[in-house]
Amino acid sequence: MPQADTSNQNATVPEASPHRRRRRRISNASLLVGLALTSVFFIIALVSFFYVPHDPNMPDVRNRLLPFGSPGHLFGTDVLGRDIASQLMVGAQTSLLVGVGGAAIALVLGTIAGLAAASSGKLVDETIMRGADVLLSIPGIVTALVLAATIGSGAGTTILALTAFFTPSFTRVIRSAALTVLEENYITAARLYGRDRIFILARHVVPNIAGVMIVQFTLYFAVGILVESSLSYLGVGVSRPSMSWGLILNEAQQQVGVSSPLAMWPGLAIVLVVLGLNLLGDGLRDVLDPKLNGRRS
Amino acid sequence: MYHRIQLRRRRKSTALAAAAMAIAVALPATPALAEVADSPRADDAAIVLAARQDPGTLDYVKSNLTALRLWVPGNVMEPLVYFNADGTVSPGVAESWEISDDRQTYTFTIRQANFSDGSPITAEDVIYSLEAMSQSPVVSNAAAHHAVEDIEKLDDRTVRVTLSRPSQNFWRGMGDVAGLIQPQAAADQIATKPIGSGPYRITEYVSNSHIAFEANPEYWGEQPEITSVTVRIITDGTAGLNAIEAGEIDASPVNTVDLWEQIVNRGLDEAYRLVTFPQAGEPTYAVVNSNVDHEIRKTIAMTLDRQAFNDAFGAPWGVENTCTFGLPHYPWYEPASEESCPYPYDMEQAMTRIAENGWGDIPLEYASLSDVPDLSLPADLMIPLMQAAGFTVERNAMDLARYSQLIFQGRPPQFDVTIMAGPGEPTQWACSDPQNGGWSTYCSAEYTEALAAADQALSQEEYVKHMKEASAILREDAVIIPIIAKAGVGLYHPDLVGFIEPRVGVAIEFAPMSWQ
Amino acid sequence: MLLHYVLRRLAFFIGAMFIASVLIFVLIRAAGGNVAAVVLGRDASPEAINALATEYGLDRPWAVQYLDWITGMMGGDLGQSFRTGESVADLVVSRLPISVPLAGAGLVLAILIAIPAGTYAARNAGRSSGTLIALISQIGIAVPVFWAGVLLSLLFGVQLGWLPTGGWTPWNVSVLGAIQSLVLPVLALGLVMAASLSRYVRTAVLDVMNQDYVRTARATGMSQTRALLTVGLPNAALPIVTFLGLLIAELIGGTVIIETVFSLPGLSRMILSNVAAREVIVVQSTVMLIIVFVMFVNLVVDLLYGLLDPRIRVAG
Repeated sequence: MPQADTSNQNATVPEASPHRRRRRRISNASLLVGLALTSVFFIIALVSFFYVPHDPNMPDVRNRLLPFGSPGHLFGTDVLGRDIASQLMVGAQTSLLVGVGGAAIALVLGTIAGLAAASSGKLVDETIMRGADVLLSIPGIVTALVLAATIGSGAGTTILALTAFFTPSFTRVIRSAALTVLEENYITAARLYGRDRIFILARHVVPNIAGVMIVQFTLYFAVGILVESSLSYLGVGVSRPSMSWGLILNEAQQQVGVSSPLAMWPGLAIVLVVLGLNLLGDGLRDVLDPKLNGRRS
Repeated sequence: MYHRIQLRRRRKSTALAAAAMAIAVALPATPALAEVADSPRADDAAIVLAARQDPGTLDYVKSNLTALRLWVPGNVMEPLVYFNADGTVSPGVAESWEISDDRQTYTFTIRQANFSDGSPITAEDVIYSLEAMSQSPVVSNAAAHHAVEDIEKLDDRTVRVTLSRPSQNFWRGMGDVAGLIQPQAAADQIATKPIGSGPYRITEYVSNSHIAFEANPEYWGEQPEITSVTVRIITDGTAGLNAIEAGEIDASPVNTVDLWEQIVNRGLDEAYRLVTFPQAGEPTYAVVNSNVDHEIRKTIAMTLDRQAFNDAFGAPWGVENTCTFGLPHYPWYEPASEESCPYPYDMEQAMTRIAENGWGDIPLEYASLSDVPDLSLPADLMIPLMQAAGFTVERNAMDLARYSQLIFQGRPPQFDVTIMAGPGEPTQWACSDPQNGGWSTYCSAEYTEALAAADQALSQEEYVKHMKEASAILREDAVIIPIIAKAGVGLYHPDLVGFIEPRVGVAIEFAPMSWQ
Repeated sequence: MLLHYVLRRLAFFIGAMFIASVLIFVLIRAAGGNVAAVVLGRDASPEAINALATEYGLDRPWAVQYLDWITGMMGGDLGQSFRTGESVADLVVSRLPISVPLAGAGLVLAILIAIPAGTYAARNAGRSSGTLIALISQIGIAVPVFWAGVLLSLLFGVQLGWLPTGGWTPWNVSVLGAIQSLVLPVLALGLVMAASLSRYVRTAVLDVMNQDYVRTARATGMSQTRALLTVGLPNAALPIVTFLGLLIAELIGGTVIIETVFSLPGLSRMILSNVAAREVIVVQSTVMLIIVFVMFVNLVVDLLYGLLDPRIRVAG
């Protein structure tokens, strides 16, 4: 399973050097390119709810396997003559739904677990973190395979599988971010004022780690899209009448062989969207979380 | 500085996209048809064949796997008689036979010959073999022996079989797996090294690897030209095609439907000799639960655009449209025509009927298999067609294990509509007890009677007549709705000649083959 | 203190395995369907299927089945396939000559690319060359491993015809053939993993470069390369070791996908087909073996971590 790239969190570049300025520019560029790619993706996914050129499931066998650029079928047709452009558009819906769904549920659960671990005693902390470790050490794809057999494949199952992969990672990140905030003087002050734990967490910790949460959400959204497409490619993710980029590839390979040009488009779509989200995440990290760029002692 | 980086980035990604496009656009170029090189095995009178499936066991009495029935009968094991493609009957283990006028007494004269282990074929061996078959767990093997009342030895080379009633199934079975003759003394080694009287004997069977054959020196007939045959088990279909292209194997006698489009795309059907034969084929058919109103079932049948299913497999050969449940070589089989299709494809009529009767409000549960591509593809086709006609179809996709549980073993089976492919034997739908309709939910006394009448027919004409009747009942009822018949498809090295259509079940016979 | 640390990790290792074994046992059983039905096929009567299921011992209470399986596992008996009677150990061993070279060579390739590339990108951070490497790895991270496989087989298999597009030639049939069937899968796996690994190496090296000890070493007149090698690398080793643990999980996921792309009959395809056939014992035991392996790697990483970083040893 792909992992979200969380490595940059530790990145440090000397301040006030020419490199530092350039880095700032690069992150601006990242942000812009990422934002552009992500917006295109969102627009396509949203448009597909209201309009697609053809029903992506409607066969037209006499026009099967039309090449790229055929009239009426810009991206050609598949083995049953179904329009590829429409399948790509509806596939974007699934990517959006599953990516956002998986990342959002995991974010909520991970935040609750991470905050609980950070603010409670050693026993709770240990239990939560060790639990996260167990989940992390079960190869995610294996869980997904068994899960798909258990409750059947579909977007719901995929979101569930993603939640299972992501929650432990979120828990770790949120916990460590929260621990840093909890060490701050004003938290001690708030405690001295007799504020209770929930109040401190909600009022002081969460707003301070919101940047981390947004960045993590973006990065895991991207991983979610990769995982979803992988599972659908393996035939245990989304199945018809729903559509997924991975499923287009799976069908192309099973039915036409690996040489099918159908394999190009969904792959390209995945790369662009995931790249866009990752660039956006990197850019956001620099904007929302300037502290992370500072030197670590 | 800022601008330069921006520019580079852009250039990089356009270059990448362009490269990807270039690959995509260049793709449709078909590989040039290479001249097929001579097989290195031609001079040694040897052939290497590819098989997709490992049989697991070579015990043909207990196992009905095609993986076994392709190679052992006809080559190693011989039946009492052979039914030829032209309808004539040739001698096998039985040198001659006599059938009484009431078709209830069959007298077989056993050939004076040896099994491949050197022991003579005796009347006792024949009796043992037939009796073992009558106890076979394989339904079609045992079914051939249902009418048998008594088997007796008249002398060392004569065996008489008495039937309780005339039975076409018995006589046909004597030319099929149900009539294969083995030596009683060697029965314990049947799983790994069955002994028979055919032109070849097995030298080695290594599970998941290969089965090796050599010419049987004891064979009663003319010695075959090919003296050594290896069947290599290559489970991955693409790898099998790669191996044939690389010259590692000389033929791939059975290629399942999932490989057809690849065979066409790679030009293998042009470069190699492609043979299609019905025996190893199977029909694809829709099943509509018999609970569903007959008029709705008829209307579902009308949404089936058979030519679309045919075209979907992407090969110009190998598929035939059909409304008859059976295989195209059966004497009573009829290809799709106005006469043989009571509910031909008619989208407009289907739409009208659905709209007039308000059937669009009835949700139909369509059970589809997600992990069997040759069934999920037809489902991808059938569901939108039904929906386009106005039906409300809910697709329930599941893997084979779940499908087995809910449908094959579900009582009552959990589906309204599904699609299936499998053996083309029409007797599988016979059903004597309406409480026990089996997974298809089809149970028709009329149909079952017509089949019984066909079995008891005294002449071929009468048999064909009753089978046609049965077939008509089945298609009128529109529970089992045949769509297409897929053929067995084999690929042979252009220099390897002599393929004949299977005579013993689906068996691929090596003996008639030779290198040119 | 150190002994205490090791013991705690071991206890966690055992506890985690227990939880994982229960999870996998319950999940595969909750899937419905049973191997007896798969074996007997569609025309078998429900009675026959129940009889076979009883013969296989699948009608016993789950707790009994679990205990039976887990005690066998602990005694080194992985059980056997219902259908063929082959032992799971033999089945696994027969698939290893495909999966182990694939995963191993993929990992080695990823490391061989990622360490120089990541270090170079870090040392040239802010220069165009470093940015370019970083950008390439950013794109690489976005490429799903199956698509990388598809592209490589399009280029080297279909267009150039140099290597097979899929399929497996066993080692005992042709060593060259086996290597040929592994080249593209290894490339696909290695390149995609190299992308994320190199990014991690870059960050780690950047981090170390700015640490006081490296700066000090530089101030004493050491060249940057020498300072990185002598002082930086041993210190950077720590987060990289952590990442390797995660990488193993990614490697297993990648192998599952790549074996499917290239139709390699490896371990993961074996799991896939056995999940489909509800060969519960084969699936449970094989998945457990993988989990034990991953956890073992994590355990070793944890212990190494403890050895390398005294703070953890004390605090942990």
